[in-house]
Amino acid sequence: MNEKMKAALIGGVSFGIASALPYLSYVNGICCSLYIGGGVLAAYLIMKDVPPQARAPYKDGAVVGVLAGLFGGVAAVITSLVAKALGYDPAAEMAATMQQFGIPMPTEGLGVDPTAGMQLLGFVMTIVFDAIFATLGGLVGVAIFHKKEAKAD
Amino acid sequence: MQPVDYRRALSHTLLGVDGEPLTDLRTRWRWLLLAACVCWLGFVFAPPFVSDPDLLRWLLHPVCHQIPERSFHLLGEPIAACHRCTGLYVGFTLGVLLWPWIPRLATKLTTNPRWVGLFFVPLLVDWAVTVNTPASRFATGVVASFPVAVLPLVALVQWAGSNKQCKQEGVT
Repeated sequence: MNEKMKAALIGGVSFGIASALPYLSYVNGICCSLYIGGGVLAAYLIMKDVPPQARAPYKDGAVVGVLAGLFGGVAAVITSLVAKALGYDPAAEMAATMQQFGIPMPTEGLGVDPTAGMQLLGFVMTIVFDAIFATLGGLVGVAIFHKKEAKAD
Repeated sequence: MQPVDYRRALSHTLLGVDGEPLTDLRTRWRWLLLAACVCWLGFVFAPPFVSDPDLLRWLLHPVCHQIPERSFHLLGEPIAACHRCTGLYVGFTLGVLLWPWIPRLATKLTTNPRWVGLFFVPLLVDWAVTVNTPASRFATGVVASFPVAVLPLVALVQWAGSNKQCKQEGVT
């Protein structure tokens, strides 16, 4: 397994699992922070041993980000299936918690009992969304962790 | 004083090599990225215009809390993203559209890419204070995501550049 794949797997799976866990999944409510975080971690892992260079490898950041998103999306789907089998419903729990803080959550749409086809579509969308946001995370990660080459004067 | 050639400076920033042919953020691929962004915005603003708005909101609920009180309403119907997320999506789309036409600022930002993080400070402050308004949530979202849009544009330039290089090497 090459370095990019390993970084994407670590970044994507760790944040993907986190995005489907009780309470921790709330962090995703802040602009998909967990999806983006997976991409940032993956970018950090590929950038940490790279020597300073003139060109920031945004292309590599995007590639590792999209891979992290795909792995993370699959991990999130599997984790949510396991959590559901154990009787945990993240949407209902989040709505209940928000209502405790006096913030009314939408009941329409979220309250519907989705059919098997809708569930499948939901899983595909989770993977697609994770890939999109983790790609941005990968790009931001490269912007943050890129070490600039000192100018030779 | 000799005027600075910002397009050449940008080319140097993007490719990191002196003497490379002049290039900028105006690749053909940016139109695909822009089309994707417009489609995404279309999904966000579509609920008032479709027969089953709940389905659309259900599809987008993994990426936003969609609390009606914190979302813009169109024709009396809340759209599928909150004020802040709408700002983020609009800012990013505007960024994809406008960055290729402001190379001077793009050069400054790509030479100091960590500045991208600074634009998130107003959003974080607005998120942390309890007295924010729809306008402040939307505006700080736009400000935060507009600079981020330069990063995928640079990645597209690098990708197009490496493809071109591969083709040239294949020919020679």
